[in-house]
Amino acid sequence: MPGEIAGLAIIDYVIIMTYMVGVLIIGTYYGKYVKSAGDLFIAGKSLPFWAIGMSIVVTDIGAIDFVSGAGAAYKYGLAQANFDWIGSMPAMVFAAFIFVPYYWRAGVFTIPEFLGKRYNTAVQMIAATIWGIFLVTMLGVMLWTTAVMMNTVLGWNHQTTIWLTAGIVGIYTVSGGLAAVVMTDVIQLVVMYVGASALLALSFWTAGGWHGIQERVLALGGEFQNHFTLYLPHDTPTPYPWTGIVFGLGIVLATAYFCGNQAVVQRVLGARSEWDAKGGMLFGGLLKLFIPVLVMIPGIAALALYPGLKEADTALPLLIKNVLPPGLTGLMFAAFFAALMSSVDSYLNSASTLWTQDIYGRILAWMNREPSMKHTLVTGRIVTAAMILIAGLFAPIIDRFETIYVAIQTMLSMFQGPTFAILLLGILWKRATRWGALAGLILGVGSALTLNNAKGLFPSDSPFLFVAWWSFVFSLIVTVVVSLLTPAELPEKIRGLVYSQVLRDDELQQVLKERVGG
Amino acid sequence: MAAWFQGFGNAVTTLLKPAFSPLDTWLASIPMSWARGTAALFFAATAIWACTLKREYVFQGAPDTKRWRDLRLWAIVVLIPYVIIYLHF
Repeated sequence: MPGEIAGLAIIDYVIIMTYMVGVLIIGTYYGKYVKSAGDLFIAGKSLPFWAIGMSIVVTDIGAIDFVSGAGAAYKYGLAQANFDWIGSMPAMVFAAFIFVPYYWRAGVFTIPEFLGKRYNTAVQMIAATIWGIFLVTMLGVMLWTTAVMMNTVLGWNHQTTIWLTAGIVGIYTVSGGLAAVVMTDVIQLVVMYVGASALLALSFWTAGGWHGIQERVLALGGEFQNHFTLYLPHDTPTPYPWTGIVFGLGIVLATAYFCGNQAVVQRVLGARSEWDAKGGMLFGGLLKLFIPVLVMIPGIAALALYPGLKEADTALPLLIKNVLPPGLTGLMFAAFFAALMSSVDSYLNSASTLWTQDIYGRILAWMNREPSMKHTLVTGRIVTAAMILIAGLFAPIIDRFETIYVAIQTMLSMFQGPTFAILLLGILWKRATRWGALAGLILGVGSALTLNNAKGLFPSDSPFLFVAWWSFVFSLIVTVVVSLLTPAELPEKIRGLVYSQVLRDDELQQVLKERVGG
Repeated sequence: MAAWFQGFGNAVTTLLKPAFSPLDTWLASIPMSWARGTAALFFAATAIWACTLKREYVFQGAPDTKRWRDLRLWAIVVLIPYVIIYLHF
C-alpha cells in the first residue's frame, strides 16, 4: 500500500478488533441506566474518583498527541514534556480545590451555565457558542488527522478510519451518555498505558537504556545539547521559551484547560460526591505524570536510533515497526484507537451538552416553553448523533486547509485566556459584575486576535503561549475596571458562587462542619 | 479582513515594541537555574497552599474522615515528583 510505514499481522488485527468490539459492548451496556438528561450528560452524578481521574487523562491525550508528541520530542527534546507536566499539575490542584467545588455546588451541567448563573444570559450564550463551535470543529479535526495517520502508517482508507471510529463512538455515546464515555475511557486508559509501556521498554532495550539514549543524542552535535533540558532560554527559536511555558502555559492555558474546558470539567460534574470530584482531579494529576515518559521518551529514543529523519512525526511509526513484535504492534494500534476514541467520545458528549442545555435550552426559555424530561433526553440523543455525523462529514474538508490544526491551536489560545479571566474573577471576586465579564470576554478575544497578528512583537515565531498570557492579563484588567464602574451584583444572586463569600459565610461553614462531623 | 487585521497587528507591534524590547532583554538574561528554581517553587508553593485549606472543606462529601481521604495529603504526594523533576531537569 502506498506510503505504508508499518504492516500488521493477523494477530494484530485480531487484537484491534477485539478491543473495538469490547468497547462497543461495554459502552452500550450503560444505555440501560439512562432515563433522563441528567443521566445522559452528567451520568446521574454517580462517578467515582478513580474513573473521573482516568477519564480526564485520556480525554486530554488523543492519537495525534502520541505521534506529534513523540515527533516534537524528537525535534525539540524534553521541553515538549512541559505540556503534560507544568501544563497540568499546579492547574489540576487549583481546579480541584477552587473551581470544581463551585461548579459541583451550583448543580450545573456546563461551564457556560455556571457563567450564566454568576453573570447573565449574554455571557452564557457567547461562551456556549464559542465552545460549541470549537468542540464540533475539534471532533472533525481529530477524526481527520487520525485518518491521515492511519493512511500513512497502515495504508488504510481515510473514510474507513473516520466512519469506523465515528460509528462505534457514536453508538455508545448516544446510548450510554457520560457514564458510557467515562467507563470506556477507563478501559482505553489501560490499553493506552499497556501499549505505550511495551513500546517504551523495548525502545529503551534497543537504544541501550537511558544513558545509551543520552550518549547517542548528545553525540549528534551542538543542535541537540538542550534535548535533555525542560526549560529553553527566553530567546530560543523553538516555540517553547521558558517564559512562555511558565506564564502562557503553566498559569493561563493549563489552568484554563483544567478549570474551564467543558470536556474536562463535565466528568467532575458527574461525580457521586464533591470529595470524588476533587479527588478525581488530583488522581488525574498523578496519572498525567506518566504521559511524557510513555510518549515523549520514545520520541527521543527514536532520535538516538534513527537520527536525521526529514519528518519528525514519522519517528514513532518507525519505532513501532522496528522494535515491536507482532501482537504488541496490534496492542499499540489498539492504544492509538483508544486515545482517539476516548477524546472523540468526550468532546462529542460535551458538545451535545452545550448545544442542548445552553443554546437549545435558552431558546426554549425565551419562547416560555418548559421541556419535559423525556423531551430533553431525546433531544440530547438526537443532537449527539447529529454532531458525530456532522464531524464525520466535515472531517475530509480539513484536508483543504493545510494549517487548520495549527489554526485550531491558535484559536484555542485566543479564547482560553479571556474566558479563564472572567471565570477566575467570577469565582474569586464578589465585585465582578455581568458588564465587566461581558466587556472582558469580548475585548479579551479582540486583544488576542490583534496580538496574534502583531508579527515581530514576541521572540518566537509561534507566539501562542505569549498571546494567551497577555490576552488573559488584558481581559482581567478590563473586567476589573468595568466591574468597578458598574453596580455590584446582589448578594443573594451570587451566594454560594464566590469563594471568599463562602469562606466567610458562618451559616454555610457550620453546615459543612456538621456534615463532616468535625 | 485578513489584510486589515495584519495592518492593525503591525501598528500594534510598532506601538508596543518599545515596551516589550527591554522586557525581552531582561528575561533573556535570567539564568536557566533560576528559571528551574522558580518552577520548583511554583509546585512547592501550591502544595503549601493546599495544606492551609480547612479540614471540613477538604473532606466535604467524603463518606468518612479516614486519613487516606485527606485530599491535602494527596496534593502533596502528587506535587513532590514534579518538584524533583523540575529541579533535576
